[in-house]
Amino acid sequence: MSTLKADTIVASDGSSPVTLTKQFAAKMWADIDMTGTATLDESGNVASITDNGTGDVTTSFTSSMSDANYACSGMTTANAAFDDEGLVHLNYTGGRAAGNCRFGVTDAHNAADVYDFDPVMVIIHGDLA
Amino acid sequence: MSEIITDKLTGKASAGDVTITSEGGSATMQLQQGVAKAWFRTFFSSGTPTSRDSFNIASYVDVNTGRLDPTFTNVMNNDDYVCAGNNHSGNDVNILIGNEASILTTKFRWANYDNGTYTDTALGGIVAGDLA
Repeated sequence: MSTLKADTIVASDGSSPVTLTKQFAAKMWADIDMTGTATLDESGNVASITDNGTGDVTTSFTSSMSDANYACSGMTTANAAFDDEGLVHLNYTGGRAAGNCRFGVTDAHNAADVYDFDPVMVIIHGDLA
Repeated sequence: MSEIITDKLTGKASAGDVTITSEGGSATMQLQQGVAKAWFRTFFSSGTPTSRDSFNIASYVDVNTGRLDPTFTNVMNNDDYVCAGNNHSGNDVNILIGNEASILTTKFRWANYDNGTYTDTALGGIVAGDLA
Protein backbone atom coordinates (compact mmCIF):
# COMPACT_ATOMS: atom_id res chain seq x y z
CA MET A 1 0.00 0.00 0.00
CA SER A 2 1.30 3.46 -0.89
CA THR A 3 0.86 6.49 1.41
CA LEU A 4 0.72 10.10 0.24
CA LYS A 5 1.72 12.57 2.97
CA ALA A 6 0.52 16.15 2.45
CA ASP A 7 -1.10 18.91 4.52
CA THR A 8 -3.14 20.50 1.74
CA ILE A 9 -4.50 19.00 -1.47
CA VAL A 10 -5.63 21.20 -4.37
CA ALA A 11 -6.17 20.61 -8.07
CA SER A 12 -3.24 20.89 -10.45
CA ASP A 13 -4.10 24.55 -11.25
CA GLY A 14 -3.11 25.41 -7.68
CA SER A 15 -6.50 26.58 -6.41
CA SER A 16 -9.45 24.47 -7.58
CA PRO A 17 -10.83 21.65 -5.42
CA VAL A 18 -9.67 18.12 -6.07
CA THR A 19 -12.08 15.39 -7.06
CA LEU A 20 -12.50 12.75 -4.37
CA THR A 21 -13.58 9.64 -6.22
CA LYS A 22 -16.83 8.21 -4.84
CA GLN A 23 -16.74 10.52 -1.80
CA PHE A 24 -18.78 13.56 -0.80
CA ALA A 25 -17.68 15.27 2.39
CA ALA A 26 -20.16 16.81 4.82
CA LYS A 27 -19.73 20.58 4.98
CA MET A 28 -21.23 21.15 8.43
CA TRP A 29 -22.24 19.08 11.43
CA ALA A 30 -23.49 20.19 14.82
CA ASP A 31 -24.45 18.56 18.11
CA ILE A 32 -26.68 21.08 19.90
CA ASP A 33 -28.21 21.18 23.39
CA MET A 34 -31.33 23.31 22.87
CA THR A 35 -32.45 23.27 26.53
CA GLY A 36 -32.57 26.76 28.01
CA THR A 37 -30.31 28.92 25.90
CA ALA A 38 -29.06 26.66 23.11
CA THR A 39 -25.40 25.67 23.34
CA LEU A 40 -23.08 23.92 20.93
CA ASP A 41 -21.71 20.65 22.32
CA GLU A 42 -19.43 20.02 19.34
CA SER A 43 -19.39 20.85 15.65
CA GLY A 44 -17.56 21.22 12.36
CA ASN A 45 -17.70 24.48 10.34
CA VAL A 46 -20.00 26.24 12.82
CA ALA A 47 -18.99 29.77 13.88
CA SER A 48 -21.89 30.31 16.28
CA ILE A 49 -25.51 29.46 17.02
CA THR A 50 -28.42 31.76 17.80
CA ASP A 51 -31.30 30.77 20.05
CA ASN A 52 -34.39 32.30 18.42
CA GLY A 53 -36.80 30.90 20.98
CA THR A 54 -38.15 27.51 22.03
CA GLY A 55 -37.31 24.87 19.43
CA ASP A 56 -35.80 27.45 17.05
CA VAL A 57 -32.06 27.75 16.38
CA THR A 58 -29.87 29.29 13.67
CA THR A 59 -26.42 27.84 12.96
CA SER A 60 -23.97 30.27 11.32
CA PHE A 61 -21.18 28.77 9.23
CA THR A 62 -17.49 29.55 9.53
CA SER A 63 -17.05 28.98 5.78
CA SER A 64 -20.20 29.84 3.82
CA MET A 65 -21.94 27.58 1.33
CA SER A 66 -21.92 28.63 -2.35
CA ASP A 67 -25.68 29.26 -2.27
CA ALA A 68 -28.83 28.19 -0.38
CA ASN A 69 -29.33 25.02 -2.41
CA TYR A 70 -27.80 22.48 -0.06
CA ALA A 71 -29.09 19.43 1.76
CA CYS A 72 -29.77 19.26 5.50
CA SER A 73 -30.62 16.26 7.64
CA GLY A 74 -31.28 16.10 11.34
CA MET A 75 -32.34 13.94 14.24
CA THR A 76 -33.33 14.42 17.84
CA THR A 77 -34.96 12.55 20.68
CA ALA A 78 -38.34 12.51 22.46
CA ASN A 79 -39.60 13.52 25.86
CA ALA A 80 -39.29 11.10 28.78
CA ALA A 81 -42.88 9.88 28.42
CA PHE A 82 -42.33 9.31 24.69
CA ASP A 83 -45.63 10.98 23.90
CA ASP A 84 -43.87 13.87 22.14
CA GLU A 85 -41.56 12.69 19.34
CA GLY A 86 -39.06 15.28 18.20
CA LEU A 87 -38.88 16.15 14.51
CA VAL A 88 -36.10 18.39 13.14
CA HIS A 89 -37.26 20.63 10.28
CA LEU A 90 -36.18 23.73 8.39
CA ASN A 91 -37.66 27.00 9.60
CA TYR A 92 -40.98 27.85 7.92
CA THR A 93 -39.33 30.81 6.15
CA GLY A 94 -37.17 28.38 4.23
CA GLY A 95 -34.33 28.20 6.68
CA ARG A 96 -31.42 27.94 4.27
CA ALA A 97 -29.02 30.77 3.42
CA ALA A 98 -25.44 30.64 2.19
CA GLY A 99 -24.10 31.75 5.56
CA ASN A 100 -26.47 30.02 7.94
CA CYS A 101 -29.25 27.51 8.41
CA ARG A 102 -32.28 27.99 10.68
CA PHE A 103 -34.18 24.96 11.88
CA GLY A 104 -36.64 23.94 14.53
CA VAL A 105 -37.86 21.02 16.60
CA THR A 106 -41.56 20.17 16.89
CA ASP A 107 -43.71 17.22 17.89
CA ALA A 108 -43.89 14.92 14.86
CA HIS A 109 -47.64 14.57 15.41
CA ASN A 110 -48.43 18.19 16.25
CA ALA A 111 -46.32 20.86 14.55
CA ALA A 112 -47.75 23.49 16.89
CA ASP A 113 -45.81 21.98 19.80
CA VAL A 114 -42.20 23.21 19.83
CA TYR A 115 -39.44 21.77 22.01
CA ASP A 116 -35.93 22.41 23.27
CA PHE A 117 -34.51 18.89 23.10
CA ASP A 118 -31.01 17.58 23.83
CA PRO A 119 -29.32 16.37 21.70
CA VAL A 120 -30.35 17.91 18.38
CA MET A 121 -28.10 16.78 15.53
CA VAL A 122 -27.76 18.37 12.08
CA ILE A 123 -25.59 17.49 9.05
CA ILE A 124 -25.25 19.50 5.82
CA HIS A 125 -23.99 18.36 2.42
CA GLY A 126 -23.50 20.61 -0.59
CA ASP A 127 -20.95 23.01 -2.07
CA LEU A 128 -18.87 25.48 -0.10
CA ALA A 129 -18.28 28.94 -1.56
CA MET B 1 -5.99 16.64 -15.51
CA SER B 2 -3.41 15.13 -13.22
CA GLU B 3 -4.28 12.21 -11.02
CA ILE B 4 -2.61 10.77 -7.94
CA ILE B 5 -3.25 7.10 -7.36
CA THR B 6 -2.59 6.08 -3.78
CA ASP B 7 -4.09 3.85 -1.11
CA LYS B 8 -3.72 6.16 1.86
CA LEU B 9 -3.67 9.89 2.63
CA THR B 10 -1.82 11.08 5.75
CA GLY B 11 -1.22 14.63 6.96
CA LYS B 12 2.46 15.57 6.75
CA ALA B 13 2.56 17.88 9.80
CA SER B 14 -0.24 16.11 11.67
CA ALA B 15 -1.30 12.66 10.55
CA GLY B 16 -5.01 13.32 11.09
CA ASP B 17 -5.18 16.70 9.35
CA VAL B 18 -5.40 17.00 5.56
CA THR B 19 -6.81 20.26 4.15
CA ILE B 20 -8.83 20.46 0.95
CA THR B 21 -10.07 23.49 -1.01
CA SER B 22 -13.80 24.24 -1.27
CA GLU B 23 -15.81 23.86 -4.49
CA GLY B 24 -15.89 27.64 -4.95
CA GLY B 25 -12.22 28.02 -4.12
CA SER B 26 -12.73 30.63 -1.37
CA ALA B 27 -12.43 28.39 1.66
CA THR B 28 -10.55 25.38 2.93
CA MET B 29 -11.74 22.60 5.20
CA GLN B 30 -10.27 19.65 6.99
CA LEU B 31 -10.96 16.54 4.94
CA GLN B 32 -11.39 14.35 8.01
CA GLN B 33 -14.15 16.60 9.41
CA GLY B 34 -16.37 16.04 6.42
CA VAL B 35 -16.04 12.32 5.95
CA ALA B 36 -18.85 10.15 7.32
CA LYS B 37 -17.58 8.11 10.26
CA ALA B 38 -20.23 5.40 10.03
CA TRP B 39 -23.32 4.48 8.04
CA PHE B 40 -25.66 1.54 8.14
CA ARG B 41 -28.76 0.02 6.60
CA THR B 42 -30.48 -2.65 8.62
CA PHE B 43 -33.75 -4.48 8.93
CA PHE B 44 -35.34 -6.72 11.54
CA SER B 45 -35.35 -10.43 10.75
CA SER B 46 -37.83 -12.11 13.09
CA GLY B 47 -37.24 -9.24 15.50
CA THR B 48 -33.43 -9.35 15.31
CA PRO B 49 -31.57 -6.38 13.78
CA THR B 50 -29.78 -7.64 10.68
CA SER B 51 -27.33 -5.71 8.52
CA ARG B 52 -27.85 -5.18 4.81
CA ASP B 53 -24.70 -3.09 4.50
CA SER B 54 -22.67 -0.79 6.71
CA PHE B 55 -19.41 1.04 7.31
CA ASN B 56 -17.62 1.13 10.69
CA ILE B 57 -20.44 -0.80 12.35
CA ALA B 58 -19.25 -3.93 14.18
CA SER B 59 -22.59 -5.25 15.38
CA TYR B 60 -26.06 -4.37 16.62
CA VAL B 61 -27.31 -4.79 20.18
CA ASP B 62 -30.96 -5.81 20.11
CA VAL B 63 -32.23 -3.73 23.02
CA ASN B 64 -35.92 -4.49 22.65
CA THR B 65 -38.68 -4.14 20.11
CA GLY B 66 -37.97 -1.12 17.91
CA ARG B 67 -34.76 -0.28 19.75
CA LEU B 68 -31.21 -1.14 18.77
CA ASP B 69 -27.66 0.00 19.53
CA PRO B 70 -25.31 0.00 16.50
CA THR B 71 -21.76 -0.43 17.88
CA PHE B 72 -18.71 1.06 16.21
CA THR B 73 -15.68 -0.86 14.96
CA ASN B 74 -13.52 2.24 15.46
CA VAL B 75 -14.92 4.26 18.36
CA MET B 76 -15.68 7.98 18.37
CA ASN B 77 -13.51 10.52 20.17
CA ASN B 78 -16.32 11.58 22.52
CA ASP B 79 -20.10 11.43 22.73
CA ASP B 80 -20.67 14.80 21.03
CA TYR B 81 -21.24 13.48 17.52
CA VAL B 82 -24.28 13.62 15.28
CA CYS B 83 -26.55 11.02 13.68
CA ALA B 84 -29.19 11.33 10.98
CA GLY B 85 -31.38 8.71 9.37
CA ASN B 86 -34.72 7.49 8.17
CA ASN B 87 -36.85 4.41 8.39
CA HIS B 88 -37.90 2.49 5.31
CA SER B 89 -41.41 1.41 6.16
CA GLY B 90 -43.33 4.08 4.29
CA ASN B 91 -45.58 4.40 7.32
CA ASP B 92 -45.81 7.12 9.93
CA VAL B 93 -42.81 5.90 11.92
CA ASN B 94 -40.16 8.19 13.30
CA ILE B 95 -36.55 7.36 14.06
CA LEU B 96 -35.49 8.86 17.33
CA ILE B 97 -32.11 8.71 18.93
CA GLY B 98 -32.00 7.73 22.57
CA ASN B 99 -31.45 10.22 25.34
CA GLU B 100 -28.03 11.78 25.93
CA ALA B 101 -27.03 8.97 28.30
CA SER B 102 -27.34 6.34 25.56
CA ILE B 103 -25.08 8.18 23.09
CA LEU B 104 -21.65 6.70 23.84
CA THR B 105 -18.27 6.65 22.12
CA THR B 106 -18.78 2.95 21.44
CA LYS B 107 -22.43 2.85 20.37
CA PHE B 108 -25.65 4.85 20.13
CA ARG B 109 -29.34 4.13 20.71
CA TRP B 110 -31.87 4.29 17.87
CA ALA B 111 -35.58 3.87 18.42
CA ASN B 112 -38.47 3.48 16.02
CA TYR B 113 -41.48 4.91 17.75
CA ASP B 114 -44.90 5.36 16.21
CA ASN B 115 -47.38 7.29 18.31
CA GLY B 116 -47.07 5.16 21.43
CA THR B 117 -45.61 1.89 20.10
CA TYR B 118 -42.08 0.74 19.36
CA THR B 119 -41.89 -0.99 15.99
CA ASP B 120 -39.27 -3.21 14.30
CA THR B 121 -38.87 -1.20 11.10
CA ALA B 122 -36.03 -1.23 8.56
CA LEU B 123 -33.86 1.84 8.90
CA GLY B 124 -30.64 3.48 7.82
CA GLY B 125 -28.43 6.24 9.13
CA ILE B 126 -25.17 8.15 8.98
CA VAL B 127 -22.78 9.43 11.68
CA ALA B 128 -20.56 12.53 11.56
CA GLY B 129 -18.08 13.72 14.16
CA ASP B 130 -14.59 12.93 15.38
CA LEU B 131 -13.09 9.44 15.53
CA ALA B 132 -10.79 8.61 18.45
